[in-house]
Amino acid sequence: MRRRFFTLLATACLCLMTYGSASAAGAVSIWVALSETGGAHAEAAEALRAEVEQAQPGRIEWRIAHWSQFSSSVPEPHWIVAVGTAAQRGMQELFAGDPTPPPLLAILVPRLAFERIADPARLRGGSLSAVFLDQPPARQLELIRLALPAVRNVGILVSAESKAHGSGLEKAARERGMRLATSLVGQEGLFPALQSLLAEVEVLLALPDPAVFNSQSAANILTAAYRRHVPLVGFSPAYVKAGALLALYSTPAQVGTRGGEVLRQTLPGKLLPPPQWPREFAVAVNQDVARSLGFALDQSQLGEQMRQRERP
Amino acid sequence: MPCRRLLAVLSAPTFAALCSCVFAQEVSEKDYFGDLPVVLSVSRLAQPLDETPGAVTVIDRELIRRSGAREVAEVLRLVPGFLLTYRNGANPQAAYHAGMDTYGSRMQVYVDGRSIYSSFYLGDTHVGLRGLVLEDIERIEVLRGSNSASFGANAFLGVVNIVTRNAADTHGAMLSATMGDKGINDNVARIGWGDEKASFRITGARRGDRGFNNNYDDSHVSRLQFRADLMPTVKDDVMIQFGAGETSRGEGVGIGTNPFRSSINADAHLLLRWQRQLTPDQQFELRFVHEREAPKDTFIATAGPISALVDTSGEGQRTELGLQHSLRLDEAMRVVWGGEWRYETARSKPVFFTSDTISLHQWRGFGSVEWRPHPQWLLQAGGMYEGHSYTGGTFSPRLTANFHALPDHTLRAGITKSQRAPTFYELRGDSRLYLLTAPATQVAWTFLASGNVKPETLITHELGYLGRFRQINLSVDARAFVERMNNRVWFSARTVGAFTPNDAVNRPGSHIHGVEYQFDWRPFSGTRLMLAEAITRIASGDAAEEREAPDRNTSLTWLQRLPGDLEFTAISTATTPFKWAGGGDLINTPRRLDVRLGKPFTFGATRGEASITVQAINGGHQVYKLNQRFDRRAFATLRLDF
Repeated sequence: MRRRFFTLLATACLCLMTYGSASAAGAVSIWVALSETGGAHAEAAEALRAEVEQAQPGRIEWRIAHWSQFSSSVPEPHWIVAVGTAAQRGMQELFAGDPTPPPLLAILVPRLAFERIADPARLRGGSLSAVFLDQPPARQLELIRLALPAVRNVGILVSAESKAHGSGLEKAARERGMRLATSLVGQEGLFPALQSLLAEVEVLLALPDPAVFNSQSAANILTAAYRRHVPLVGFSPAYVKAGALLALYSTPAQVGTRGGEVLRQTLPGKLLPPPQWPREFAVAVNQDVARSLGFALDQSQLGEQMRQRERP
Repeated sequence: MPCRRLLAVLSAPTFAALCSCVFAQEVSEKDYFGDLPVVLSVSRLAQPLDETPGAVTVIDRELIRRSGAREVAEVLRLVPGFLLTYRNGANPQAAYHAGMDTYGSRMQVYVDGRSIYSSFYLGDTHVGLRGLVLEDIERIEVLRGSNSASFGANAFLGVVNIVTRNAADTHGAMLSATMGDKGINDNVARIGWGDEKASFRITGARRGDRGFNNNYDDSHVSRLQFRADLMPTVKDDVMIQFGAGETSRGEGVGIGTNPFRSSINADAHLLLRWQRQLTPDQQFELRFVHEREAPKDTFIATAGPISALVDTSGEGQRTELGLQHSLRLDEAMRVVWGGEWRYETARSKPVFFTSDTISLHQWRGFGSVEWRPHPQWLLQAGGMYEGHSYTGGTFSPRLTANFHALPDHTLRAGITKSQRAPTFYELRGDSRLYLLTAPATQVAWTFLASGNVKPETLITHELGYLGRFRQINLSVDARAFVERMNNRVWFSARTVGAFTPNDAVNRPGSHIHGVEYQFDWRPFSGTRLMLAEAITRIASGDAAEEREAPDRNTSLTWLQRLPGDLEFTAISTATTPFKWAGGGDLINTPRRLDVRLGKPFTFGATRGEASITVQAINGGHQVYKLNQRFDRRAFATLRLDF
């Protein structure tokens, strides 16, 4: 199988140098299914492709398109990369009836979204994995400890959707001598939960959950927290622009590159590794907010210190 | 999933609409890449203390609560350079640098952008300060110095900017009761409600005590206050406030010309403020204020066989419309500019000797530029031109430079010129006394304004240092200043026929110079120590005027968390001998030590606090006059939030 694979690959590689080239029988074909064809999804896909191509130039036959463009009637690819939640769902459903579906690597997906739709049997069997978009709990708490060393009480606002984040963050907080306060947004709405949380914490850690943090509620949360001198740590650069003190995030390119590394290591025919967090990340600081709240933070220094701590 | 089952009978668009409710609440990568509006733009952020164009002390809600204070004036003694006295038990008064006025007429006080300065009689902020409910205050920012360039006339010796709590932060109910010595009986009830877009609050409060021993100085303050905060869109903030209250204060010393009596001030106000974020770098603000006050102080003065009705009652109204535009031109340059129009009226036959309503217009145009030519340098220049229908135009400029010598260490130098506008009384006062038994017979003419009085001016030079030693949790703020007052307003007798009424006249003022500093140190978790001290000298050539400021004025505050969640506070204040103007005596080194022990608790969803405060636990001290003592007093407070 393996010999045949490489023979075919060698034959095909000459005509597969170009991005999105026509399929050639026997080449290593990889579908990259995008939730959206532009923006972050395209950026992640491009970084993934570049990472794989850099190591094995011209060996792969790429087909990169919106997930709805793929159908199971054409020859199955060897690998599928789903960029985003909708693509992951679409690709899983496309091969739902297939007893041996091609391995699927989802990238740029939030952990909770991935886990909600992932087929547990495929996960166990190593034919499904992910590079998440979220940051590991330890990294998030480590940033708070590094940037705000006096903080002992960290608050999170969750809904039923996101409360699963609680246990990991709680453990990471405990390991750093901090306490995690969790406020559940229930039937009474966001505001009572936010107010009771702000009364007892020194920093608010925002978690991706559209029931809690969305473009409407972000303004209320940021202003209410600022009035109480409680800084917010966000999960995207948009939060820092909006008024969060800090944000810890991985760019689409960083997630895509990590996806490319995973794929590269797996291409020889190995099983997919377990789902993992992105390795590279960025730290952003809103200097105006930092100055106003009396914090002295250096964005590049903070990012470098964080990276140093994660180096083996 | 219920939507899936519906799929067979519903068309695709309907399905999408129905399911959006479900999918919209599920996390996806869109949550990471969606755009957010700029919420905390620079104009919405508080200016960092190391970039303010002057020395600022901030006292937050936590410190106010733990200070055990019942009055704003008592809180202000924690600010370097602020003096606290009591003309009697019903008239607490704080003043900056010099005890040259016992009504707070040379200090500007803003509450959420509304000036509470009353220009009706002699110029007053102390009655307005008495009406404020401490429980509703978020923080008090005190500009130590003067700044008419930004705040207009009367931002002369100190600018107190009081920020009350946003209604969104006071949802739920709060009840507080305080009882103690000297008839202390304070009650506050508050209820707040609303949601993310609109929050409302109503506060009712009353405060009363019997003042000092052997004085007629009971006081009763009652207040009803409403505040609404609306956020109709992400870009708009609307604040609506209205309130009304009454302050009754015991007055008099029990002699014929100054008998015991109660002076009552009723007031009401409306404040509307709309702030719109035009772009992330531009903000527009529109403000409307209407205020009404009705002071009432009437008594029969007797001197020998002569009795006359003395009356300083009346009614004053103020209406103000202001707009302000702030914009960031680029990373290095910010501009704020705007204008205000103000219309004031006063009516009092006994004070102005006319039944007519007298009025004045003021209009203001102001602008300031903040320029950061280098990351270490911040230069700020500003100015305000004020037109006054009596005193004409005045210009108040300001220039400051902040140099961030090292991270967390800033040096500041500044020069500013400020004004105090003459009050209605100083401009138009005409007080005549008539025989009680024969109302046509004039027996005295106590005041007749010539109308020639000019605004007082103050030119301030200052050097400042602001340091933060993060490793040891210490902040240091020091300021050295030279303040040159000109055209100080005095009352001077002149001859008019058979009488010698006073007139408001200008005289060269004094030189005030000195240093002040504050240390704020948190050596351990749960411990906070604050030292605030001012060393002041007045030079004027007039011995009495030179005694209007103490050589040294110190406050030391210790906040300590104790085992069992107890909170302990000790505040010690002391001044070297000095004499308050307006009838005060030379008081010899008053020292006062206040202690407080509080115990916050929770009971289900109810949070509360029980506390005991003993003011002047060291036995009391003289205040204002030799025969007046602020004696030891203890009171207990129970507060519940639910």
